[in-house]
Parts: sequence; structure tokens; C-alpha cells
Amino acid sequence: MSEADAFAALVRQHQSMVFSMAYAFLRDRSIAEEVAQDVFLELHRTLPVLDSPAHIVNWLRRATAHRSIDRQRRRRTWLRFFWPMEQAPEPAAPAAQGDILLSGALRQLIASLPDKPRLVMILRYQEDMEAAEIADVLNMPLGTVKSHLQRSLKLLRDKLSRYGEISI
Amino acid sequence: MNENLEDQIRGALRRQDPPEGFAERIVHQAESARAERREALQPGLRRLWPAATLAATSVLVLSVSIEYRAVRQERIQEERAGRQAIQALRIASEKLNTARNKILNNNVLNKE
Repeated sequence: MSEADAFAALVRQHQSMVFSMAYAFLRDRSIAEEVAQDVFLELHRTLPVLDSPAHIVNWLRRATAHRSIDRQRRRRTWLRFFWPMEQAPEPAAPAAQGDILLSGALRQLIASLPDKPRLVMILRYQEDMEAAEIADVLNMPLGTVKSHLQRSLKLLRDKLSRYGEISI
Repeated sequence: MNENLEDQIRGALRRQDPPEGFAERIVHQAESARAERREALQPGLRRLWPAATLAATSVLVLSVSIEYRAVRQERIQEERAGRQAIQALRIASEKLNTARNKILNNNVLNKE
């Protein structure tokens, strides 16, 4: 197998993980695709120093998390420049009346969380990672990860109950 | 209750595939970027080559001239030392001759 074929296999193996993490965080398919593309191009340059499949997965999660946060910050700066804050919608705005799908409502609520708690939720529930693994990937104290998870779950439960779309 | 919510979140956040042809585009871009890096490196080396040759030649000439000066200096010192030794021998020889002549003269006078 040539080097290019091996890299293609690696991209195919991990593309849904990287793309989904970026998409769940940024809620924009084209921006998520750009982020995923940047992550894999950086992986191509970094590959010689990554010595195991586990190391590669860990590196991909970390790179995707950091690039997604960077992209979100740049997007916010750009939005603030062209669209003053008082006109911008409240990030924690409730789901639209017509949005009766629970998954859609949950995705919107998760998207309204601040950057770090949102990433913690994505790594916990999309990637099925343990709190200690999340703390390692995000370079965050374990206690902070746990408190982000508890607070986010409480917030989601409260908001979903308030909307009355489901009974939890 | 909490487990139910967690399952629902898992469902909402399940993985999705990127658009069709994503992997192929990435591999193509990675290969292009690698080729560009290689091309960017080669003219750099070509530009550096004459300067490197000049620097190597300069170092060689400099070290040869330093070595030559050292050898020359050593030879001059050896020649000087040789001359000084001969001079010393000559002086010693003259002194010995003078002393010998004095002894011989004294002997002649004593006999007379």
C-alpha cells in the first residue's frame, strides 16, 4: 500500500468522527467541512511523529476541538463587525415553534452552550469518552469536566421541560 | 430520567458522514501540498548551492594558508635555532683555541 493510499484509508476511517465533532460544535456543514479538511491536512504533516492508532485518534480529537474553537471565535469577531451584538439573536434562544423533533431541539440547545461545555458534551455523548479522557484531550481539570457535564445536563433538562416538548 | 436524557443526547449527536468525495479531496490536497513543499525546497537548495561552494572553498583556502604559515614559521624557527647553535659552537671553539694557545705559549715559555 502506497503512502497516499494509507493516508486515504486513515481519512476514511476517521472522517465521520472529525466532521461530526466540528459540525456538532459549529452547526454549519460547510465550515465544519473546512475545519475537518484543515485537521486532516495538518495530520498529513504531523503523521511521522504519531506512533500509534490511539495516538492518532487522540491527536485528531484534540486538533478538531482546538480548530473548532478558533473557527468559532473568528466567526464571532466577524459577526460582531458586520452585525452589532444588540441585533444578533440570543444564542440560547428556544427552538422554533415548528421544530418538534427532539433531536433538533437538543442539537440547538447544545449549540447554545458556551464553547468549553459544548465541546465537553460533544466528546462525552458523540465520542463516548470518559470524563478523564475529555480532561486529557481538552487539557482541563477533571473536576471542571465533571461540573461542565452536570451543569449542561441540568440546563438541557430544565430547558426541555420548560418548552414542554417532551416530559422528562 | 437522566439516562433517558443522556440516550436522547447520544441520538442527537450521533456521527454524520462528511459530503461525498471528502477523503479523495483531502488526499489530493495533501499530495499537492507535499509536492509544492518539495518544489519550494528544491529552488532553495539550488540557490544555496553556489554560496555553499564558495563558503567551502574559502574555508579550505583559509585553512591551507594557516597551515602553510604555521609550517613556514616552524621552519624559520628551526633555521634560527640551527644558526644560533652553530654560532655558539663557533664561539666555544674560538674560546677553546684561545685557551689552547695560551697553554701552549706557557709551556714554551716554561721550557725556555
